Amino acid sequence: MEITKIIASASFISLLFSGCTPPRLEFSAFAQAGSGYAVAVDKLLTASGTAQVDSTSWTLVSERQSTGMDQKTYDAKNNQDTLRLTQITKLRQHARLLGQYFGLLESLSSSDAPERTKKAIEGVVSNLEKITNDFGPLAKGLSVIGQVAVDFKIRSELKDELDKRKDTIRKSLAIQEQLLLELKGDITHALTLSKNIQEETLVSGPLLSEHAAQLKDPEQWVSKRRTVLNTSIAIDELSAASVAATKMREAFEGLITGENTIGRVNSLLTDIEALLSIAESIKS
Amino acid sequence: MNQKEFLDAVRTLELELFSKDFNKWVNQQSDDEKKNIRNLRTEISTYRSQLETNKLKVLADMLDQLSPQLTKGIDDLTQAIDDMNNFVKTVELVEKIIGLVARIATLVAA
Repeated sequence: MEITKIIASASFISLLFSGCTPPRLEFSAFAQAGSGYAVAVDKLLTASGTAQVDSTSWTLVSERQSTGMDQKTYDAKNNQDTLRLTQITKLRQHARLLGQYFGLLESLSSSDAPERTKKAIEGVVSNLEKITNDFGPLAKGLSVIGQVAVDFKIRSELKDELDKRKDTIRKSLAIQEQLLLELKGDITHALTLSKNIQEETLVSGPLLSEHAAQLKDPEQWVSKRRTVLNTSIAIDELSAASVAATKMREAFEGLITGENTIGRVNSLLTDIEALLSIAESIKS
Repeated sequence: MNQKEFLDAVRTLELELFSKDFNKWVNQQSDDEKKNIRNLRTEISTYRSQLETNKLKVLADMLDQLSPQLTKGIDDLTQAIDDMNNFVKTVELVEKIIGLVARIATLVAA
């Protein structure tokens, strides 16, 4: 009876002090989504660089076929791609930093320290009982108090961290949202430009050519045509990028205001999966 | 016309300049004219790319300003995780020591 009272008191005290702190599960789910989001942004940035470089290459091929080529044209286009890749590298560094932050937030929120503490205190009490029988019910409740205290400590650390860094994270997510919108536009244009030139150079050109040699491998031509036409699907799916960014920002605001964010986070995880899949399809 | 609309207009122009129909027309032009077209297309492509890269640069610079704060957060979280692990390790060590004492006490009593 006494032990039950102690445990109930410990739980009550924990609830009292952590009234406005979201459960660790919510921190953990949000941090996990944050890590996934940062990876998806990083991959989309890489895909954006690839799409840009490829579209430049296709314009060079097209230019060579229609007007010829000179060093000045090649250098000018090369220079632009290099400048773009430099900015993408900078943006990727920040995405990785954000990923590292969310990764640590996830490690802390999903820590097994409370359970390990409880087990260790249980071991201490059990061994002390072997030495002396002079132990009251208080000692038996110690392990639960220890577990609750460590859990509370972790939640406080998480809350303090988000309180300290909320403006930085908020600004970072808002800029990332804008970034994904820009990337959507950049990638869409790069893919459309590449697709139009590829269609002319690899698909309709060889098919309509009077020289039969141009279409010597029909199977390969069918495969190329499929790849080129499928580019439109990747372009349409890019809208998921900005949706994921908005949901990530909203999930963060929900977490800060103590709203239940699990539903939002689950929906966000689906968008992150879609984003990763788009980035992979663009790169390949 | 805002910045986005302007960029979209430049993009549309570039797509037109590399379209199949435009290339058909280019093929009928003289070599000098072709060179002019090449220069024009390169200028448009370069300009469009500059506009896009500049927008990314602005965002990269804004994110760069937040990096020190984020790095501080990473350091603080690493410290909190280390402290938590050290605390648990200490409790586990106490458990082991008491366990050893209990075993010795049992042996002595026997």
